[in-house]
Amino acid sequence: MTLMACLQTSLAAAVGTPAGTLIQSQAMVSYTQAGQNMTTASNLLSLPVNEVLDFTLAWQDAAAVPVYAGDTGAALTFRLQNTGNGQETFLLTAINALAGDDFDPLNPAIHLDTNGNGYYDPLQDEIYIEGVNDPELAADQPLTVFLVGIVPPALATGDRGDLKLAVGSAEGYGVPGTVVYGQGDGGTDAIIGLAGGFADAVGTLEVAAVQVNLFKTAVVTDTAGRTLPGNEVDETGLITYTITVTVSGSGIAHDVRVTDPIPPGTVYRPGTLLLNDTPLSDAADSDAGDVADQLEGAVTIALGDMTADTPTQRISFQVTLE
Amino acid sequence: MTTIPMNLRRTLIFISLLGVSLAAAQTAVAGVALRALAEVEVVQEQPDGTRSVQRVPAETVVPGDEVIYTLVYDNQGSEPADDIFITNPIPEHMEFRRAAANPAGLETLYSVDGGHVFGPLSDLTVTDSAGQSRRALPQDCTHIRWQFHRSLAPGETGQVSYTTRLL
Repeated sequence: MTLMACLQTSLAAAVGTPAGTLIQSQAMVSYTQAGQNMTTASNLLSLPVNEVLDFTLAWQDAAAVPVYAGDTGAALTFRLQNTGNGQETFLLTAINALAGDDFDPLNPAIHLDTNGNGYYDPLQDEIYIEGVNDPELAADQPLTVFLVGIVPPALATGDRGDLKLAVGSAEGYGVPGTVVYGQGDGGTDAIIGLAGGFADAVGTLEVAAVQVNLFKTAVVTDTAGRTLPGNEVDETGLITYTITVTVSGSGIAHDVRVTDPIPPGTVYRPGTLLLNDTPLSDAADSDAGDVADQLEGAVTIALGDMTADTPTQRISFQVTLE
Repeated sequence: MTTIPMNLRRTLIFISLLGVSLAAAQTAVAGVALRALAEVEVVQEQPDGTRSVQRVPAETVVPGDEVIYTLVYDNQGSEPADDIFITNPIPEHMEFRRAAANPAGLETLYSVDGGHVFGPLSDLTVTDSAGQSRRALPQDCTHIRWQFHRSLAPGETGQVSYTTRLL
């Protein structure tokens, strides 16, 4: 009977008055009788607030997360939030064998966002072990959780693999409205909320085509190597350009070649071409780079074949004002 | 006619109630007694699929629950009572929703300032966080009061009621 009452009125708005609070009410009546002013209090009503067990879970990535075949650090981001009115402990499970996708990510693991930055940091975000570090969340508190899997080798571009995160309340689950006696905060009863004490969410990894990414920065210094304020350059200044090259997605990028024109109004400073901090000669010869030899007025670097596993390649050179 | 002084009359009734119930003796005194009830409405589904709503005593609450508070007044004295006001602070964590219809001769008044000023809700204003004055809404109420524009005869009882929602 009370079960139906809960369903009707309360379960929609979970976050609220903390479990264990006493709601007290007492009325007064004042009147005159036989010429005397009188005041009388009613009995005191006291209602304890029970705990509602409720939470939400959602996959956070805006779209399928791009990975490459053989990727070992593919991570999906989920957000768990305690929407009940008491402290709650959660049990987490990762599931990789799901119907309707192209591959099963291997060795699925759950990581908690230990450093709280919302991003998966493999060295800092601790792995979840049931019964050891079950997350405990206060009323309204959110937690970011990552599902990490290994992408099998030999997949085609566009193949998709799903991972499911299943979350249960340690205090109870069942039909919404079910009362779990004595399991609420402060010895109150707990009531299963709309989630039924259980929720799951699915995220998707997608094998992306190979892609080469270039990122260029410029730093202005004086001849002694001191950074100049505001990146303003005068005739004594040097500009150091750095280009980082990475590959993402699946497959091989063949014969990657980076060319970068020397900016108009500047002059290449001879002997400053570096690849991964190793000097390269300015001439087109046996090393990977040259300046203005293969292509007039430009730096050219041949990086060969690259994949997502190739370490970041860093090219740098300096120019002065004309 | 013999008039028993008020204080003696109280003592007499107290003694007579002691024999019946100690709990009742704590709230019942000569004059107007006030008994408060907290109830919730539950929907019961019958075997034939129809639903009926019943009021049952509230024992516990969870956020979002509506609780109906009822105040039963009872003139247990031998004289009529006049100038009656019943006042109930809206319980902390509760939001006032609505008052039930009153018995004849009673008027419902509200306070939105902790019980200093009472009036019809439509006469009250509150100042919002931006400093703007606006008309008071039910959820602004801090107190509810019933003013009797009539006497309550000896032995006469009645009740007033209002509904709140747990935040």
